Amino acid sequence: MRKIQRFLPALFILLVVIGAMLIYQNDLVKYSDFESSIKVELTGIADYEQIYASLSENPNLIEIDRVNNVVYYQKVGQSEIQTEVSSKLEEFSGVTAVYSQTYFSISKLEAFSKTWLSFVLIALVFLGSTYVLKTRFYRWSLKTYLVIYSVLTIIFAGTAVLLTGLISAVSLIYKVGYLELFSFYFTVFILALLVWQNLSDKTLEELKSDVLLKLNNQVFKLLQITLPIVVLLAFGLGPKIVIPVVIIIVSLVLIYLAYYAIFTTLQFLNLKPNISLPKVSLPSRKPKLVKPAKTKKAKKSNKSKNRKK
Amino acid sequence: MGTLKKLYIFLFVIILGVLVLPQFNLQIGDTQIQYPNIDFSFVSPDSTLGNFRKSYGLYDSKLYTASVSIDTTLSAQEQENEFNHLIDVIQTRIEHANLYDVKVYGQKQDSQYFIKLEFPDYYQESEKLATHLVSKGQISFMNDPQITENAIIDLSDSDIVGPIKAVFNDTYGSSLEFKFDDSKLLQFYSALQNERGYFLMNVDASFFAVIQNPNYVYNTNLQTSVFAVPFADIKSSVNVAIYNNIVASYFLTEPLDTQILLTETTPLIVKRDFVQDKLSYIGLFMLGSVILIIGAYLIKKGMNKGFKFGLMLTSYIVLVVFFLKIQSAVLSVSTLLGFVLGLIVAIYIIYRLLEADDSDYKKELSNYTNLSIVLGLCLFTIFRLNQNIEILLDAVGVIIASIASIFILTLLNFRYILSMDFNINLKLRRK
Repeated sequence: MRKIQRFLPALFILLVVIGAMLIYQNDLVKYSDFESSIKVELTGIADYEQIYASLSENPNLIEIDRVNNVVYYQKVGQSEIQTEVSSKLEEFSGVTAVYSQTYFSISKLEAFSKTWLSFVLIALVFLGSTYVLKTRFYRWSLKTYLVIYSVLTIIFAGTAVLLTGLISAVSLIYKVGYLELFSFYFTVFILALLVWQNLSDKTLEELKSDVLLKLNNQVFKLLQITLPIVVLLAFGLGPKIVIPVVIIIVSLVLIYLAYYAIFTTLQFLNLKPNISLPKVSLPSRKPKLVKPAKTKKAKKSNKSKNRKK
Repeated sequence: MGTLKKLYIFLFVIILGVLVLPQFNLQIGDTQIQYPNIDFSFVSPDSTLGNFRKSYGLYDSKLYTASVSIDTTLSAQEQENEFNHLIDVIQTRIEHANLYDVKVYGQKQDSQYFIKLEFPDYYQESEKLATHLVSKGQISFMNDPQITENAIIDLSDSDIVGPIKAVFNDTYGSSLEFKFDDSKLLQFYSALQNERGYFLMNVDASFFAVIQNPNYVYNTNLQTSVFAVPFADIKSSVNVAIYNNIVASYFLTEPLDTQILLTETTPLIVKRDFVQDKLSYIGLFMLGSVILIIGAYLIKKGMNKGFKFGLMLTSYIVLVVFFLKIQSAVLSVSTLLGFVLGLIVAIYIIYRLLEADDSDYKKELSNYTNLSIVLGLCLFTIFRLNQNIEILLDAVGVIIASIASIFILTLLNFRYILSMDFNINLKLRRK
């Protein structure tokens, strides 16, 4: 376990780097609801499952609408898709395809910036409220507050890169839409802000054990509660609706693990004094009772008593 | 005091439980009873406490197609840029008109460009709204041809300063309020110099009567301020307020030079991969899952805690649904996601409260009350300042309702329920 702990900081940094690379490689996310896509509407009587299986060989296929018999592609030219699909449809007689390109009103950048803007607003309100709370009730100075929350903001930025990298990786196999983005950032930000709110006079070691305790006591219990709802929801309303909820659960576990790794990293880098808070020492009313030091005579008399016994 | 608390808890659940029931009609003899028949319009104009309004993901929606005539002499890239610009303008109109749940996207098929507008099922006269959204948005001021005393009107939309507000006036009904630049005072009075004291604002094919703001007698700054009151053809529409908002958005976006014509006026029903009768299905499904969770808790933790858990969860559900219905919320996938999230958080909070020791639960309760204040404030900030988050507004709205419910319940109901004893076995033993 200790060996694993030793590797955690390196693993965390590695994951942040991989996350950043994925974001760069996929231009934030690869397939999304916010970029132009090629729509192929199929008509005619045929075994559509076979057609879908044949069309799925193209990695740029992002969605199959089985109800309306529509297939969507992204990151590829219309003429290229037209050539490929028409050659594949030759095997299935009686099926015709209508090709069109769809343009969305909201760009990928706008969607992300709007989502981020929302949560920056939350963060600002939260920072204001925590400042009042900590300075009024916990008697922190402005400097203490700034130091601690600056460190946390840097930590949080690292976690955000890591988790956005994860969303970027998810986008390679699943098209990312508004609800997925919301579910993801909702969990990440709300949980991060709750950690900020509940931050108290704790050392890094205590914070680490606190994270593990919370992961064990809260997250897994939350999973127990969520699992029946998720399973029922999947059976009742279809698997599509479950994806955002699953993203929330995965993000929840991941952010706790990330916090654990972050605290270990800080410990490894010996940044302990930056995060532990100065304890407010209250004047003690009762004088401490000091035991009188044992003299040689007293020790001897004790020994003789023991021998007699 | 204990009896009063119990009475409050049970009355709370029963009264709100009855209020949140879906709408139904009952025929007894010749008398037809409609339930619920309560007017809550003073809270929200659309509030009915009946059924939820049908929206995306769970219900069919209406799709309108408009063909776009882009200049064919332009290069392919220039045509695409022009098309994207048109979509942006319409999107801006939608946002300024507060039609956050109307979707717009473009389509290019065989070198022909189309704009698609998708409306949720609950919109009335959505075809008219679609037509207004893709209209050119050309605004001009002119005399009423019926008035003989014609004066020269030297005013244009560029002379307007400050915000253009869609307002409701007791005398004139839904209208637009805006102000001309003070430097145009003479031209403004000259335009009003006729026997009826108004001039016309022409917006594409519609007309508004422009009258001086009656409050100018109290405030000289309002001398060039006006009310633009729509003519009867728009005023009689159920969507008059929305139409005024769309017209207000025309002032904020440049007029569309490209011809956009609504070609498919018949709404297309978009097929969804869900069962037909979704409302009762979702209601039953939610009820079933909650009963299952309460049952499982009851078996695991016994009568006392199980009963408390059930009562707390029921209080939460009836209060959230009441808040949603009174705000005339829509039922969409986004709403459902927000509700499920809120439900999970509420179950977790109730679980933690019941697990806490007798001495700790009060501390936990005040923790959740404080947290709900901060979180509620945060989400309300998003809701007010960033209203263009599209369909996410539904989810955010439901979460705000959930937080408000948790705030009220931790202050009163949960506190009372936790202090009660529902252990039947224990009482029997005492006897």
